Amino acid sequence: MTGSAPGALAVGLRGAVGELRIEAAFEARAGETTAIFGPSGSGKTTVLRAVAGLARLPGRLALGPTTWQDDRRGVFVPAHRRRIGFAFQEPVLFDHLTVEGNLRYAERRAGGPEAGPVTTSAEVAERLGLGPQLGRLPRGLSGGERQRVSLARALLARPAVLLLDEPLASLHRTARAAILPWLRSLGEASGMVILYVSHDLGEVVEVAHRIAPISRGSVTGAAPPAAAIDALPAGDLLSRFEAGSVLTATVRARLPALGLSELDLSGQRLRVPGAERLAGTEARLRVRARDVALATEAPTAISIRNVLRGSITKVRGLPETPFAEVAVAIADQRLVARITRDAAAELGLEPGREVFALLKTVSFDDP
Amino acid sequence: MNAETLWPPIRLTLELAGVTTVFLLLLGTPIAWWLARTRFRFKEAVAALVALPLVLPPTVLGFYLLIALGPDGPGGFVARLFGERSLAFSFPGLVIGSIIYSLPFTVQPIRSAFEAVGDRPLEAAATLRASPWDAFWTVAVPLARPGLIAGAVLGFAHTVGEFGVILMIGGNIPGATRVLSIAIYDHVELMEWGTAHVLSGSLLAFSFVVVALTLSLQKKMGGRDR
Repeated sequence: MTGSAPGALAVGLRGAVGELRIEAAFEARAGETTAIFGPSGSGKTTVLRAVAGLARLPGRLALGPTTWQDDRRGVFVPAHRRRIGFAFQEPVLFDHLTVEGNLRYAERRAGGPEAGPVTTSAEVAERLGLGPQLGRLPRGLSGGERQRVSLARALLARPAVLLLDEPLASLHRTARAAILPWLRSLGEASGMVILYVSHDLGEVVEVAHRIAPISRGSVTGAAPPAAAIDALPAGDLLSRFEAGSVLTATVRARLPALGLSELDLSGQRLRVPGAERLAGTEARLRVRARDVALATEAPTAISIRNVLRGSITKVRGLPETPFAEVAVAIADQRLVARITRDAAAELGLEPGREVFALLKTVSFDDP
Repeated sequence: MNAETLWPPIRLTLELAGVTTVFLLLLGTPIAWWLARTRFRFKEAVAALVALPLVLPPTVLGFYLLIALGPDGPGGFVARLFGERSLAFSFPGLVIGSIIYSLPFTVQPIRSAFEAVGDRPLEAAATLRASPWDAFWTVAVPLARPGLIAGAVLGFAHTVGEFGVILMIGGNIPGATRVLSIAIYDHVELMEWGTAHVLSGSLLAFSFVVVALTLSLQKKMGGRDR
């Protein structure tokens, strides 16, 4: 953490852009990645542009003690005087400069080290794999390469607030899986605020300390991933994003011969495909609600390997569907299952009841 | 036919076109930028005013310029500050007339180039803490360079080929206002076909070289940028 960490970003904006009414009221903490998560057309990009000062919505914006916008006092700091970095969804590179020239453009205007040495150009080039591209002109780059250059340039601007609009959408899964944890830790180390816009739940859970769901222009708070996902409205959001749970487990052993990892989840054992994680590290797992079945007795002779014991905390019917959502507490963690209401009634599932949760698919939470 | 009759009008023409081009860029670039970026409701009216010399007969433009530059117009007022009676029939007068006459040829390509650059590179520059002035020079101008070159070349070439306006406001004073196109006209009037041939032929070759250079330059830059 550098001494210049400027503090949290407080957003309070309300206004209309075309047909869409925007209401944005949330705080993004310093050193944390806050994901603005919602479907396309929900106003994510508009909120980001307003924070950057590229678009104008009535209201208030402040970064720690620095006011960026306060319409009652007639304050509006123009974009070029805000300490931001912005990676647009469609990367905008300067076509007359090489990749290296694009990066230098940011560095030269970033201010001295007192602005907060987020990272160096050498580290960025290496982490984002830009070495071979440095001498090339942007027009010859692929979509993924353009996005990486755009992200690198935003980082080299030494931002206090890094605004990322689906910054890795054109990248391969493996490339994304390597970049996301690095971004998250860069934010933690430098104390910058990262606002990460995405419609991909997996990506969001991997990178975010907090999630601020947005729906039809309204984003009114950020919460830790598990709580935020749990709080997603049952209706359309649920089916659209295949809601599920995020569980935290510790890698106990790698089983490369089986292609599996053995994990410890609050004292219970899990085996999950993928043997890349190091033993002793913490891993986040995503389990989709529809991949969880419930049993009232310990199942035997069954192909499903992962069975967790827990007790039901909540049962709620999903309106206008035949389904019910059952929340199961496993020690201090929460697992959500989606089963039919019919099954819930027949098994007599109700809060307090001990159940066995059968996890058909568990995956490491890589995007 | 000798060098002393051939050279003065050529030199005067090149001087006039060179000086005019410098002023065209200094004046035309901000106008083009403004036209490309402003949301002012009546900007097309301003654009029409700039483009007017495209359709106006040179004699009409020349007539009004003659009055404006003459002893009773604003040009006369300015001339008196320098101890002259009038800007008409003088080199500065020719430059002023040429600027107005060639302005649309410079503004139009530059405006199109700025419009093609669009908002997004300038927004990206702003997020990298480039002030609008900084972004203009480091992003907009380099990206619009082919348009700026085209504007300069067209303005220069159009000034070289000017005839009607100069005849009206410059007359035909050897060494002062007698430019190439007017010299050619004179030689033809005097039936000096040989001299007219040499001058016309040079102008033809010059024009061809200018157009060919512009086209190949634009193509080369387009190829590099693509």
